[in-house]
Amino acid sequence: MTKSIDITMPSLGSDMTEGMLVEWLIKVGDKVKHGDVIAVLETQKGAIDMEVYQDGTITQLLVQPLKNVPVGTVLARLKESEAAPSSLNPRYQNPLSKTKQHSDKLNFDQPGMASVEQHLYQPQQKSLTAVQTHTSRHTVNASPIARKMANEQQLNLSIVRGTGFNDAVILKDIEAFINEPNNQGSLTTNDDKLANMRSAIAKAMSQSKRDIPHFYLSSDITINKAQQWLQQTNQDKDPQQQILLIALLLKAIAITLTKYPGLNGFYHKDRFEPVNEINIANVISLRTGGVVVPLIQNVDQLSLHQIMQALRDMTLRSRSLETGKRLRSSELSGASITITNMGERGADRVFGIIYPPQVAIIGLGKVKKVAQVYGEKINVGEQLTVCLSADHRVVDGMLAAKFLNSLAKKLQYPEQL
Amino acid sequence: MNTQKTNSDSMTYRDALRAGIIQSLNEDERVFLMGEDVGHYGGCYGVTKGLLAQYGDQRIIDTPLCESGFVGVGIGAALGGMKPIVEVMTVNFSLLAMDQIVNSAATLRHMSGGQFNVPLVIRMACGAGLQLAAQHSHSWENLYAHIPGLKVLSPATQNDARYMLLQALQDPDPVLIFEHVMLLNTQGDVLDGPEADMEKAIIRKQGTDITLITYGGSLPKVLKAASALEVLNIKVEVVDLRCLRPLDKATIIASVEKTHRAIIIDEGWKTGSLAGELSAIIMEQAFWTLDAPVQRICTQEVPIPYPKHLEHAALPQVDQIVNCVQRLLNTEL
Repeated sequence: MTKSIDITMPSLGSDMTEGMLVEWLIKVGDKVKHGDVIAVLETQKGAIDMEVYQDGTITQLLVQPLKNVPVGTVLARLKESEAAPSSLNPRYQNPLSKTKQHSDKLNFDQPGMASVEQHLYQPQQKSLTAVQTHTSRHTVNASPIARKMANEQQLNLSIVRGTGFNDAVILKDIEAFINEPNNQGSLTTNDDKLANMRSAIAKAMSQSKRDIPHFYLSSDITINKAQQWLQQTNQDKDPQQQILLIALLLKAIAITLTKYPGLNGFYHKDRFEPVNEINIANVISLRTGGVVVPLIQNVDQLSLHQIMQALRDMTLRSRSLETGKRLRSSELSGASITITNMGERGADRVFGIIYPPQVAIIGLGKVKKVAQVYGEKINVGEQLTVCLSADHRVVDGMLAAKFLNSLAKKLQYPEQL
Repeated sequence: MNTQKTNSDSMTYRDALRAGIIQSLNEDERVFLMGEDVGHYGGCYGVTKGLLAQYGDQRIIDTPLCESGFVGVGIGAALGGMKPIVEVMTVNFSLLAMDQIVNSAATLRHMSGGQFNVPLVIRMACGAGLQLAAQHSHSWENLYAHIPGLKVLSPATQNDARYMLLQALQDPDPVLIFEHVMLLNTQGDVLDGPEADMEKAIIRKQGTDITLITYGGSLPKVLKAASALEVLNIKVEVVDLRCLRPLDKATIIASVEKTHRAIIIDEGWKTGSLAGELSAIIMEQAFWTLDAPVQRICTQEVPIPYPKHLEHAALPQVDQIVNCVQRLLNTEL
């Protein structure tokens, strides 16, 4: 017997309560594989490519594009492929596998994350019936010039009625839409997007400061050796092949975290659940304002080169508008800890606010030349302030201090990273 | 555009062609005309009637039925410093001279490293509509427009019929002129001179809603369709290509950028057609200005039929153009 699986509106962060399905990229009857991008979602974080986590055939599309629906709403159904025994019982999957569902119901998040969402926001099941209309059209027909114009106006094409050849949206339709005063609200300007993102950040950060008893520790870490090692390693390399300090720091943090699982996990329902994978989210500032926080999975198992690649790729994709080149839904959820690097912007140190349901955030300050005292001698060296904000419900000061200490030691042996 | 209109005369396309030939014979003694039946018979389509008596058999030369031979003679004469006008009765028979045209006329300047050019003009009748059946009705302009080294003209108006030959004779390289048989009896204004260089396309009608691109025998049909559409308040712009090689891309693109839509009307077959080439040019250079897919109206993919109703059905017609425009603008009733 093949099973029918619900594909739901994913939660892409604790600050997300609802999302808009912008476009289906598949239609009923399409075969999909784990990892395929099946839809484009518009969230407060911008457009995101939504992946599917199961192999199978799409049997139903339940939500029309351009509806805002609560997190957890069933968007589509999928019939599992019979030739995929591993996905028949997701319970017994390799813990390191990227598939995240833990029950028969398909979730798009880390178990803890999804539960927190449902706990906090109670997705309304009644909306399911309201949106149970089939849609046959999964792409918008629009002429090249209409697409160009819509792009310039930041206008979502699928809400414009097409009157052109094959009912395509044409230039005239865009002009009529823009000139219609009632539609002014539908034109998402950059300012609106920014405002949405601002309010999402506000929501998450307020919740965090309200609920999480933060405590903060910092440590000035000497990085003379790390810098020397980087200089040697990079000297004969093309700029594209060079390793930056941030990659070294990420790797050191990830390896240290494997020994301090108390900082790497989720707090929900008054309980801490450690996460086995070290999935580190990085705060990336967008040029247009606001931030996105995509994650790199299993950082402790990646080489420095792989980390550099992941960072470059992620920064590019954070700013991309093209389907398939944007951040994917799986990259925006399930981070077990976050890093914010304000040193790049010249700040000495940053005490971050924890992104729930995580329990810690690590802030990196700028690299500074300082006078270092060795015995009776003063030496000019380089140091960096690392700050740890942690959730006191889960961690105590002692553990946090040990973590920083251990991280400082790791950075004295860069060749081992 | 029509600055000389005050001095215009009305004449048939045939008479305009003849007037052009007479002027070129008068102005340059190197010019002579040869071809099948151009002398005693006065031309298969009556274009050269009376010229033999006027200019004598040294300048108006009847040739045997051997296209390859007399086109080759024309090339030789051009190489020798003459300015021959070779008439090939119809484009259908020019296939017999294709080797001379493609392998010799078009290549000699290149093959000689620029030492020898071939200032030859070849005139030929083309097109369907007179119930002359498949072997006398085809449109091979596309084949010649494919070939570097040639210039290909398609006069669609009386004025172009009158002056394009003179322009062609000024060119140092071989020029082919296609005279559509359905235009011969049409009447229209002839001005004091050409409206533009021979390689320039001309906007025959200004419009803002859609660009119809055409040439030769299809131009009157397109203008008729444009008038019918004007009644429906659809403003059509008509581009007359005039020159099929080289194509005046700038004029085509400027028009499409203005109207955002294009239909190409071409009496050739669609597959591998000039219409396909034009569509590709628009796609390459004006894609982001398009508001609808480019359409092509071409001849049905059959040898041109003999029966009148089938011949009519095979060729692009006015109602077809009107319907296509309405479909593209989504204004069908």
